[in-house]
Amino acid sequence: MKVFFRVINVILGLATAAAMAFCGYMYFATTRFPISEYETQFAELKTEIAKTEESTLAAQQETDARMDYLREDLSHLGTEGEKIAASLETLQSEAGEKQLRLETLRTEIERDENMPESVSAMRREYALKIRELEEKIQAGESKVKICYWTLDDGPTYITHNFLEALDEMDNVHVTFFTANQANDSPDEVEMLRREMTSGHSVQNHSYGHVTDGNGVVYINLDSFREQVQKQDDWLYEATGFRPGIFRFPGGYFSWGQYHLKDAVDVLDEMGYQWVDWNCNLYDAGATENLPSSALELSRAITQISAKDIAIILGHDWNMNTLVAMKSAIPQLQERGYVFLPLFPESVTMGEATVAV
Amino acid sequence: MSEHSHHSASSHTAVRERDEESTHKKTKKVSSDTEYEETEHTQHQKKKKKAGRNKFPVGGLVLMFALILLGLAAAYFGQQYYTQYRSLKTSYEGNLQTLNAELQEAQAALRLADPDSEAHEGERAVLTEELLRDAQAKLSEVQKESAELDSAISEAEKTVAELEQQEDFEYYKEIYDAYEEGRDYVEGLLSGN
Repeated sequence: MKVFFRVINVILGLATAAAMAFCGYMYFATTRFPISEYETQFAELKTEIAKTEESTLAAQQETDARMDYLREDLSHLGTEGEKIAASLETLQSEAGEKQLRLETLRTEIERDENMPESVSAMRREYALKIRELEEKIQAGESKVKICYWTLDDGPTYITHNFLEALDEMDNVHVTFFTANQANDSPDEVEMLRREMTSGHSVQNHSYGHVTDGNGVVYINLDSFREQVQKQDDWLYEATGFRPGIFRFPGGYFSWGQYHLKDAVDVLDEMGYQWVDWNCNLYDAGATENLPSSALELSRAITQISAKDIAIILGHDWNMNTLVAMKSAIPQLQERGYVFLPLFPESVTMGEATVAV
Repeated sequence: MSEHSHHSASSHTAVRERDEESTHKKTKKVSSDTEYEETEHTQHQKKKKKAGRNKFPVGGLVLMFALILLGLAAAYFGQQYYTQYRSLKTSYEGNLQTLNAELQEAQAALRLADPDSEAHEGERAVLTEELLRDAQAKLSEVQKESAELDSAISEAEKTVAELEQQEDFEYYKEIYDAYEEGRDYVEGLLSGN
């Protein structure tokens, strides 16, 4: 029995020693596991990976840049690309010019297909710009002053003198209030058309301009309507355009403001505006009593200078008026006045104007 | 080896017993007075020895259990340490392998991204061809458009010339130009020029 135990104990002792040795070995192996060495390797590997990835990114960017360079310009595609690029540039430049030319031609066609309408449209644009300027002046937002020089009772035998004088001056336009039978002129139609082509405004001053006693203009409303309409038709026949402004023969306020109230209603019905003046040259008297051009000039300068928007009453049958006008216009231009034509869109239409 | 030891030990015990008997016989011869006492004493000793030989070896058993426990404990802790060690090693080796794989992947990607590589040279060549083809097509298109424009311009010029033959065309044109010039002049005034 003893021997048995001894043998067993020896075996167990050996086994225990082996287990302890294993345990000890594993303990040391565990506690002395080379973590720092691994971590150093990890760090090195990560650094290398990061560097490689950076290099990859840079390489990709370089690759993309080279592709983009090719796409950037045809001249980057070698000789063939350069040739195509040059041809394209020439053609595109020419095409641009051609397109512009075509657009211009199309605009011309559109305009030329109905010239009277195109002229009316352009006149309205012009008139609205003038109105904008008037409003700015009234609001004190512009230092420009406007002078509407009106010449009544034409065309006359000396209207061409006025036109020639006006043609010699830059950007000076006036308004002709025409009356068919007021003055005889052998070339009335030609004068009217010339007034139009020179950029002046041609308006209605009645057909007969008879105001004496029970003159046909004001004898009754039917007569008045007829006078306006006849002149309207005559102007349309002569110029191709219907006027939109009427000036009462003798002026609206000259007859007392209530006397012509019904006539104004007739004008409204006919789509007309009306206008008087706020500066008078007093050049419409009897021929033997006509004032001198010097006096007219003095009146013009004095009266106009007090107004930001002046409407001068003159007549294109008076030579003194022509002389005064030629002298006054440059002087007034120096004082900041511009000379524009009157159109129905003007703020001066109707009772806004006060006769002087 | 163990059997041999056991056999040697048994032989030795037998020799000793024989020596003791011989001694006892000699002693019997020397003194008869003490014979009885000596015999009694010897028998008592024999009984005692015999009893001693048959007693259960507790120490051995204890030692055995102790060794078993110690061995089991050592094996248990050894196993624990082993598991821990394997876990650590597996984890770190795994990470190392992962990082190595990542590095290889990154290096492969770098090789692929190399702008001077044949693959990319090929791509650029293909792109160049495509761009040239597109440019050629565009050139043809522009040439065609240019020809169409020429034709349209010619047609428009013809129309304009026809329209200019209208009655009073020049008269209206002069008025139009005069108004246009006037409008531009007033625009200049509005803009402060």
